[in-house]
Amino acid sequence: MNFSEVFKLSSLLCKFSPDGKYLASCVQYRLVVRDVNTLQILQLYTCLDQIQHIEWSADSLFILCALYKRGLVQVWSLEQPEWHCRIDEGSAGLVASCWSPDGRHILNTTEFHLRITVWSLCTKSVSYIKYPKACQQGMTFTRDGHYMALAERRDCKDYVSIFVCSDWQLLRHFDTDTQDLAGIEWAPNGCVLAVWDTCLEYKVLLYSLDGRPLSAYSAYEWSLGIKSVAWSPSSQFLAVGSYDGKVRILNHVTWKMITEFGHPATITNPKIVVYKEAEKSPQLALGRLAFPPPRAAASPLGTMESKYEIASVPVALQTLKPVADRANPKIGIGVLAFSPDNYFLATRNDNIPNAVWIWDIQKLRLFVVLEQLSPVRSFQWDPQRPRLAICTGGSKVYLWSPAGCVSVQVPGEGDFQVLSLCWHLNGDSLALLSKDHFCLCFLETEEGSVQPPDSWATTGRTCA
Amino acid sequence: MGDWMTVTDPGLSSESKNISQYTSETKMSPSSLYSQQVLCSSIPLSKNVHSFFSAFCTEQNIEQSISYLDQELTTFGFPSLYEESKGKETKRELNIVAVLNCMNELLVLQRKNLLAQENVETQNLKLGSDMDHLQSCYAKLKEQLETSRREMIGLQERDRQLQCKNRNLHQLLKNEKDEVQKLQNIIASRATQYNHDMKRKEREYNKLKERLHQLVMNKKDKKIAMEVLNYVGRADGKRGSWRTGKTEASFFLRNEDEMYKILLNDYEYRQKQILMENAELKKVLQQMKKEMISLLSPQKQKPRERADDSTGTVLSDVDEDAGELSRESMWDLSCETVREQLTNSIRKQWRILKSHVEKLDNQVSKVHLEGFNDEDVISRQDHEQETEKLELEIQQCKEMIKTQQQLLQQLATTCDDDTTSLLRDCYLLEEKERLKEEWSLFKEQKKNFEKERRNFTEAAIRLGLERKAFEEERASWLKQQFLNMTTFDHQNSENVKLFSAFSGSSEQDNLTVHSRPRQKKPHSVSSGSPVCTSKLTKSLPASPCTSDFCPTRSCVSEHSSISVLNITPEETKPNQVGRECTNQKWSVASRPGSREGCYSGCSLTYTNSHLEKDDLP
Repeated sequence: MNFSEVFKLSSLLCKFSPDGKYLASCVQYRLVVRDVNTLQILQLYTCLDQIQHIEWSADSLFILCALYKRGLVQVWSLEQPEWHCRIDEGSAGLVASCWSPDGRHILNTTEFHLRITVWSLCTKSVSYIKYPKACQQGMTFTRDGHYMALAERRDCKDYVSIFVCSDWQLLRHFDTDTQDLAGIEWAPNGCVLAVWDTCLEYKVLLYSLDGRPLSAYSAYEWSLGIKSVAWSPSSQFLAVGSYDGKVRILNHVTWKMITEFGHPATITNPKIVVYKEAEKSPQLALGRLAFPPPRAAASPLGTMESKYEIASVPVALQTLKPVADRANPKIGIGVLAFSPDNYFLATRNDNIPNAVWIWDIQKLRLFVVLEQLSPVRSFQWDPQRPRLAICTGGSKVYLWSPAGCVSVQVPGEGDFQVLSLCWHLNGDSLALLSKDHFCLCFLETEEGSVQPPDSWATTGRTCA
Repeated sequence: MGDWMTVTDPGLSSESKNISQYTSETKMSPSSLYSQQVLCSSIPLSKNVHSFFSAFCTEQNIEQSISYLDQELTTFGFPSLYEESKGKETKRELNIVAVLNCMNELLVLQRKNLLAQENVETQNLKLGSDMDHLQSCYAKLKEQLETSRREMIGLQERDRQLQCKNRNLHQLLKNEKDEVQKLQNIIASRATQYNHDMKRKEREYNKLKERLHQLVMNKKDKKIAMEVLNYVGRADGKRGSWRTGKTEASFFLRNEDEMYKILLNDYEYRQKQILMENAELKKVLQQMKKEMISLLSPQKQKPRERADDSTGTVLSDVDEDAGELSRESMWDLSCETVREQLTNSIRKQWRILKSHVEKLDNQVSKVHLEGFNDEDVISRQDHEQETEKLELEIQQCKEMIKTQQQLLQQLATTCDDDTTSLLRDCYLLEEKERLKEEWSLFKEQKKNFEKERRNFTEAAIRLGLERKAFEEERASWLKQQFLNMTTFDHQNSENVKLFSAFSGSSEQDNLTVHSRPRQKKPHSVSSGSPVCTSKLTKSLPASPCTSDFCPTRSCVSEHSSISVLNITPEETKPNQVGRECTNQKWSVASRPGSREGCYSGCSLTYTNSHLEKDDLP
């Protein structure tokens, strides 16, 4: 495992291009595009103001930079550095901007969700979509890029409109049986749309592409409801995480619940492996005593080395007592993610913030629990392998695979606090983002040379 | 009798005392008194009569007493003491026999009475003790009764209290229920109110939005615009087509078509999957059925032989069914027609299998009851023998392997490449790899060794040359000194001193001291620290990046040579490395990298080669 040198970054804006060749990152008002392999700067674009959002077009030819404060979007071309495009939303303001899947249209949401403007890069045409709903996830594209579903609100009722992305024609428009729709999400096969209600009501509705309601599911009433929703990559399962600390898995045939995964604070089943991160007391390695006085000795606790220990059941996990009288309490399943091969589901229960739960979807049971020393910030699956990268805002990055797990110290001057991470398309490298720096972490593949794959394998063997 | 007297109440005795004062005869006084009484009253008690018998009859009153006795006796039913009177005027005669008889009878009676009295007395005593016992019992029971009564009262009190509590709780519950109901009503009303307000607000909000929209959009905001250098081609290479009223409809239809196509495809895909799954399941069922039939058919004979089981007949039915079904090639038929038959037959067979298994279970339990069979014991013995044999064999094999390994090692050290390569084939792949690696390392080491040796010899030669040169120089210098000494005595006195001080020490030391200030020659090999420089020369070919690596090289080499010391044993035995070790290794491996960034990889390779050389001397 090697690390690149550290580059500057602002507001965690760092993204791999969809084709995996480039890496775009922002430093204040500058957009830097690098080659992923050499990390040499290929292009450097200067925007008018601090960049608040960037997005690659699907064909990796353009990059969109949103400057929300100014109501501006600037688009840059990678092929023609002199080409530029500037979209000004004027007094209408701008709160969100994204590419359409074809990479030739930009969808801008104005302030107060007055409308969505669809700007075309090919023609002069501009389309408007009125009444978009301001909610958690109001817009979603099918994976093949053919259709867009948009949540709308008219006359105090929720509607969903399905547009054809090629010509922005309205295909279907139907009202949903929701109190206050909170989000919509296409199944990866693009044929089923999941719609969920606000957290005050537990309700998931499933609609076919042609607007027919397929099913509705509600687990309970009165209490706070859905917090997160995720489709499995095969479109076979819909995982619904809720405020009661459970994940319910719906199947795609009957749309009924197959199983529910509780997240208890104590784990008693001896079949479950609990990896507990433990601080390693700095041992007197000879390397430490070597000539240049080691920085590690001088650096604060944050760089303390850590390792995973297999805890023996029963294990009591650290729980957080939620404040009952505050809105958005820290309880329930906040994050859900299926592994790309459908075999695993990783979840985080917000009132057990230090733990990541990994469920075996084939056997529909809990597989592994990782307990970190500090609250888990985010985690992401390797797009190619069942391998999960976790960060906790400390100077370490954690990797789990079915074979075992490791904690890796990020080298660098001072503390490199990993706040976020994202995988490269092929799963060989990982971008680690801190508050104002980022670096790449290269994971050796099987045919890679000297030691790390070897060590990875042995780690696996001993841990499994 | 005296006893009896004392028992009588004291008033009477005092009276008798008084009487005794009047009468002279103290002993007889009571009896005399009684007699007087008797005489006066003429109704004497029988006992009194007895006791005063002696005094009762005197010489003077024989006749009277006899008549009195007769009278008495006749009243008690005795025969008269007198003989039967013959005439009225004649005096009645005393019948002695009768008197004696009467006396006897009286005596018997007396005895009887005494006995009876005794009995009565003992009975009285017994009854008295019984009475006491009963009284104590009674007292105890009474106590018990009292305590239980008290307990009961306590319990009743508690019961009352509990009931009271219960009533209170019921009341509370009712209150709570009422409260809940009330709260629910409140919540419901609030929710409706809230929803209503929300709707109102939303409507207002929508109105405002609308207004804002109009304002923002109608202002002809010049700012709302897009500046593009030139328009880009579409991603699919098509041209954007204009939408007109006519084409609008066709577009829509096309889109619909496409959508349904997608949906259809999805459904078809799913149907195919389901069909496949069905086929698979059918296959499994079929196989199961076949296996069941084959499993159950050999047993068909047995029950028939026994003629005590009905499974045989059922089985034959099933066989017929199966034959029929297979003839129809049922598996290609649609589900509805086949399903029933299939499930029925499977169910039937399952039942048979179940009964069979149960029977077997019964048999097994019977066998267990009977105890172990002889065969079983024998088989165990066989088993043990077999294991022993196998163990022996394993031992032999191990020894063989060991000797083979030894031989191989010997051969590997002695033989040439061809034979070793042949022999290596016997090794496992891993070992082969390792050997090869080692070999290459060895070779490299050898090469390095050679190089080093050459270097050394060169250095030695150079050293020799230099020494020679130096000696020459010194000789010339000495000569000069000698020559000068005669002329400039005072100026060079120090030099001379120095020289004289060094003259005793070895020549080499001399050489180093002098060479340091003077020479700054490029071949530093001869000067200073030969070890360090040799390191450098060796490390140069192995390190790929030279230019900016040089300044830090020395520190890295120190650093990593130590860290590699940690690593290498692990690398040689990757299988035994635990998780901790590898973790450590990771971190260690990344540490030097922390300084040089992406160079860490190459620095590591460099250190590896470096280490091997260090080990050699």
